[in-house]
Amino acid sequence: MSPETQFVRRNAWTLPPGDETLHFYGVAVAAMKAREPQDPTSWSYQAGIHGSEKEARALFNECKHGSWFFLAWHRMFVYYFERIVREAVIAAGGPADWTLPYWNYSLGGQQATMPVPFRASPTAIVNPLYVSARAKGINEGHALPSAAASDAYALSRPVYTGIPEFGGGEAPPNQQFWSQTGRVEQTPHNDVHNAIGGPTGLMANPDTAAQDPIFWLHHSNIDRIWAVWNAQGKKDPEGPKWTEQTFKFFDVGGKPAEKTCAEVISTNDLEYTYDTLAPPAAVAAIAVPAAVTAAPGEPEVIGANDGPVVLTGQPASTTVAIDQAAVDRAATAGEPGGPNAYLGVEEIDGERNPGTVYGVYLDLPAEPDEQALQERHVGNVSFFGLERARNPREGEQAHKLRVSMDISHVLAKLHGTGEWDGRALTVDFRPLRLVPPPGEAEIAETEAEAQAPVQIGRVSVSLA
Amino acid sequence: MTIPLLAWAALLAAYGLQRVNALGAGAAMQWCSPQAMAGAVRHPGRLTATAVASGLGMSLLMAAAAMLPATLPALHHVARNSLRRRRRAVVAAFLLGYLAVWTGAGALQVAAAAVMPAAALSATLLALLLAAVWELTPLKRAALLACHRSVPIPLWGAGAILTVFRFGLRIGCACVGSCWALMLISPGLGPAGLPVMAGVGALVWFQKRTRYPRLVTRSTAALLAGSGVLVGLLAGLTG
Repeated sequence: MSPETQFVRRNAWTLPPGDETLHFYGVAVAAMKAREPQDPTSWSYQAGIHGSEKEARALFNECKHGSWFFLAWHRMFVYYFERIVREAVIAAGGPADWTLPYWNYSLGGQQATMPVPFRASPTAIVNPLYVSARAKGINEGHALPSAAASDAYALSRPVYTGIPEFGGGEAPPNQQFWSQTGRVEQTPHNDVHNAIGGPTGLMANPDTAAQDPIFWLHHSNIDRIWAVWNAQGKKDPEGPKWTEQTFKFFDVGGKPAEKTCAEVISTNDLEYTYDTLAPPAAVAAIAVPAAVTAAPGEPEVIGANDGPVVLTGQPASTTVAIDQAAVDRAATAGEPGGPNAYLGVEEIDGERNPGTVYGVYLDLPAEPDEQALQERHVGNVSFFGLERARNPREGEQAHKLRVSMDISHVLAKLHGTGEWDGRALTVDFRPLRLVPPPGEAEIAETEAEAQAPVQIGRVSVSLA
Repeated sequence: MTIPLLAWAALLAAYGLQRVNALGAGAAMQWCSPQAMAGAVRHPGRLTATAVASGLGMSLLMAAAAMLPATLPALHHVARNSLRRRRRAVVAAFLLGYLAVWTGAGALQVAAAAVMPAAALSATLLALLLAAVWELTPLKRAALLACHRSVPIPLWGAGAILTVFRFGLRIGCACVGSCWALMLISPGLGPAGLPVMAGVGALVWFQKRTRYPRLVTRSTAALLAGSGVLVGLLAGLTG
């Protein structure tokens, strides 16, 4: 390939018949697994750069989560990984233009199930792409729930910086799980990690996630979503704190390499693109009120529930009371001239990630139908990184997880139907389960690990 | 000397605490007057009223000087997660808890001063060596981590004030646990203690933010031990 060649990452579910992209990916995975663990191009070393429970080597445990560096760091990580895999593919006689595909689970239907080559486990031979340590049902063709896999809401966000915005809030460059998780990092990124990993699988823990070969297709897709968001004309951070931040990796042959965030804003500069950068139709269906098309100011908390909520794999509910002095302003949230409203799910703490994704809903009726669930769904919470947040590594600082979601549009609708007067909100947490193939039953998660309690310290409402 | 106190004053004013600020800063300045500091140096080994007052004052001065930058995130957490109209009360409750811990630490310091050797350099030597050892313990790392842990803040009622007061106590304990040994260094140095105190403040701030805490604490321990050797030599030379 010439240096001018642009590699094209393609949808793993729509590769043409006879395409060998995933076959050679498996070949490369096997080759990398055979390398010495101290080789930076080995499978275990590459996975360890994201996170490792074992001994630390150079550049181990570098992943950036809960931070506005999440997207840029992972773009670099996948870029160098792809180059290392390509070299292994070429060495095995594969195509010189081999490129990492992506898994676009957001498209739903069959494409929300894991691509077949990753779940098939022929008994006679070893399938390097297969991992047994996944959530029950994933390897049997159960689909990711659409509310957890959808990229539509993240793509609808107009601004990059901020917890309720696309790319996450400002955080120090050397810190992980800093509680500044942006919308795309939460949904679909964190939620898909959890849905694939379940209570005990590799993908649900940042220290093991990159050992699963599907990790890289998941992150190829997250990277694609960023490119799609940019293709809509939306802007990344411009200040030097973000643009000039450098991260280090290993390139082909284990050669040290580094890039700044500014150098990875355009995938063209990295000599790759995606087969399509068109936003899904669902993005246009999300009406973003005029009030949220600009960066919001510092939110002011105006309401909270009266105690912790403990989630154990079952639906749970809490009531957020609004301060008397703020009722009138809260009632007009999301309306023209009214403030933006944000729901904060704060001080999330627990011993281990149960692997459950919860949808968050406002003022659900007692027996909600599908329409009510869709209309009142404001976002998700899941607990990728819970262990690291509680027990940080050397150099990391302890933070409880935190999620913030823009609820302006839902409050405006509820106000329009007379269901929201600014005084109190019921907030429901409902587990989002894998969707079984037609004719099969939903898998009831009975493992004790799936019921490991997670405590939400406070649920709040803020205005900005 | 009053600069750190003025910094706290500016901070409190930012949260609308002008009245509390004036009272607190005024009292602290009384305690931390040059006369009181001199009293602490002049009367080592004797538990006089002046020594007690100056010891407590020194402790608060330490907290004010060294901990202001490092405490800002916790204060910001308290203020940002409370109703705007109640921020004065919750920030005051946090500071009450936080400074209560440092006052308690000051009382222990005074008691320790009563039984320590009379020579200031010897006391400084001991403090340096103690601080060097403390830097290398797992307890130091645990205390540093505890400095970053937050709590959910209720919005209304006495429970909110009590929660924030307890949070102030907790962060204060974490800070004391992390820095108590460092804080023992400067009192025995007289006027030279002020730049040392400023250096300790910068070090505390850096330790809370660094990516490489083990490297920093080991380097700090080496620096403290080296300084201890120098002080020991100096003490030997001056007889």
